[in-house]
Amino acid sequence: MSKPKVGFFSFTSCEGCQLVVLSMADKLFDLLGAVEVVNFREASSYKGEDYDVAIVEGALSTVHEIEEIRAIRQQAKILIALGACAHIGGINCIRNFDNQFEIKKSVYGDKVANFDSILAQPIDAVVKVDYYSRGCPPNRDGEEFVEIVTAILQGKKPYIPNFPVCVQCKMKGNVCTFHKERPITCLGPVTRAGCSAHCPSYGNACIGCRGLVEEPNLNAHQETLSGAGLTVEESLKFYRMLNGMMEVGK
Amino acid sequence: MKNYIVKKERLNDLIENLIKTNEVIAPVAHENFTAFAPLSSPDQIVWGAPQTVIPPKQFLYPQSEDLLAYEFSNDEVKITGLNTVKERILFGVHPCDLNAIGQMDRVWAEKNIDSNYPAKRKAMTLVGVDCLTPCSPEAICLRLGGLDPKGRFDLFLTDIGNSFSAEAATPKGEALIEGAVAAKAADKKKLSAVRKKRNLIFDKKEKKLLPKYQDLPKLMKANVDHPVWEEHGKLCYGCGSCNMVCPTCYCFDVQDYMHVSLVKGVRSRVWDGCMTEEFAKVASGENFREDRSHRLRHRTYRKLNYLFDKWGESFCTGCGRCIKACLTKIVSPLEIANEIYSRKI
Repeated sequence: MSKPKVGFFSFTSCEGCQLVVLSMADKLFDLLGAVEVVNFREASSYKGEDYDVAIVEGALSTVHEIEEIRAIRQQAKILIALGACAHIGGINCIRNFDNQFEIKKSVYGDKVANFDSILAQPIDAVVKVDYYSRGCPPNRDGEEFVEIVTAILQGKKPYIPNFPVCVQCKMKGNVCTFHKERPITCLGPVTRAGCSAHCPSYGNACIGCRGLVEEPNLNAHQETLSGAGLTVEESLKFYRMLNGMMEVGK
Repeated sequence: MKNYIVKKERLNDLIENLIKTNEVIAPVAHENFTAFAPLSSPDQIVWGAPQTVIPPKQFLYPQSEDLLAYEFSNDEVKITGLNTVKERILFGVHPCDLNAIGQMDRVWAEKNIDSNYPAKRKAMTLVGVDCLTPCSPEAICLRLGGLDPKGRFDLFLTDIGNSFSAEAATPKGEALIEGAVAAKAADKKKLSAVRKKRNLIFDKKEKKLLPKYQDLPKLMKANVDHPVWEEHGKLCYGCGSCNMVCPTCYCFDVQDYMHVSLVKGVRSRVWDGCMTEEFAKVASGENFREDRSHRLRHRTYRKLNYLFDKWGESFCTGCGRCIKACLTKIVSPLEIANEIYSRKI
């Protein structure tokens, strides 16, 4: 079997997801032993167009990006969304809830007419996505990303947990964020696990970067959040930080 | 059972000595909770309250445990069994957890016996400590039979003032304590006075169980369709917190981690929980317990019905961890039993 050819592409994002892939050290070499990279802006100026697998980071936020992702989808046999922006729109979607004209004006000033900026959206709002490597950035130092590539190479479905972060948070023996001496509100009970509860393990709240589980109990969560003192407005803001699209279970 | 009396400072010296040559694990401070962790000094031990976030089951069947490694070469598969076994002394284990470990010893030895649990268990020395007051407001141990350790330890300590009474149930326990003191007739009067007082405190402080303990399986069986399942289930996250923190939840998932080269990999056993969405989902996509209310009933039935019937005792030992962990307060086996008992359908 010849090695599958892989291209990395970047849309509206900080490009941190590509950096995670590049900083995987020994795992990166294992990966390069299994695939041939033909397009990877963060790593090489060479640009091949003969890829079978497209790995795409970033959300779509211009008309031009929408044309580009359609072209990529046409070429690629397999398309993987890499990171929260590509998967759920991520932090870019915060703008969607404000006055679009004001937002554009504040960024582009009097040149606003020259920019085709539109509402931010995840990749699968425009084209079919075959696999998602979740997280902001992709979790466990890119290990899950390698597991996904490995599963594709094996021809099997990658294993992605569909239970909340709490499962892995408890496994770590963390004190629940809601039970700390100074409680902090957390999206863990509705967010898909797979990150080994990274943020709560360092004393922070889960901010939902892996997207929601398939059947999040949003009513229960609203009760938990208001019990912790958040208003409905504040709870919505908390969700909208990364999950503005509020799409569940993908 | 052999009895000993050991002065508190002598026990400290004993632990200090044990730390030099063994891995000694005990509850230590962990933010506003405690956690079982290896000791570097006896002063770290937090005797009594509060309960650890997760029970000591992690040292017998860890959260994620590599069971075997495999490697393909020339149409052959080379398989190597894996099991990391460490001699360990667990100190300061509460009776609820001792009972849970005693129950796990029975279930893991029943059928399809693997080599990992028994080897880890054999390498473990269990030193329990009597609780003289409930370790948390959630504790329901007295009600569910978890407060009496029933000999499920190597050594068991009871605070009787400036000394500990120590009972050894095994030669391992005797050897351990005889490093500090010689066997001595127990001060039975003092011990029973301490326990009598203790029971009164527990009876006053712990939530009451309304049905009779022995009737729990019968009560559960008769109430498959009780509205409590639906009402509580509605508020369930399916987050599995109650499973993870439960000392008698022992279900696991098996995962293969193939290396990206596709020539080698590792097979691991990972904690799983019956309250999560995919626990009862099978390959066709069918989910046998799709409803959260069904999953809550299943979990409660495991503790108060199926395993109670099978082994003759409640498989909730009343540690109270799930009651604390559950953010929507729906999971307490005792409260569910009470609600069912007082709201006849």
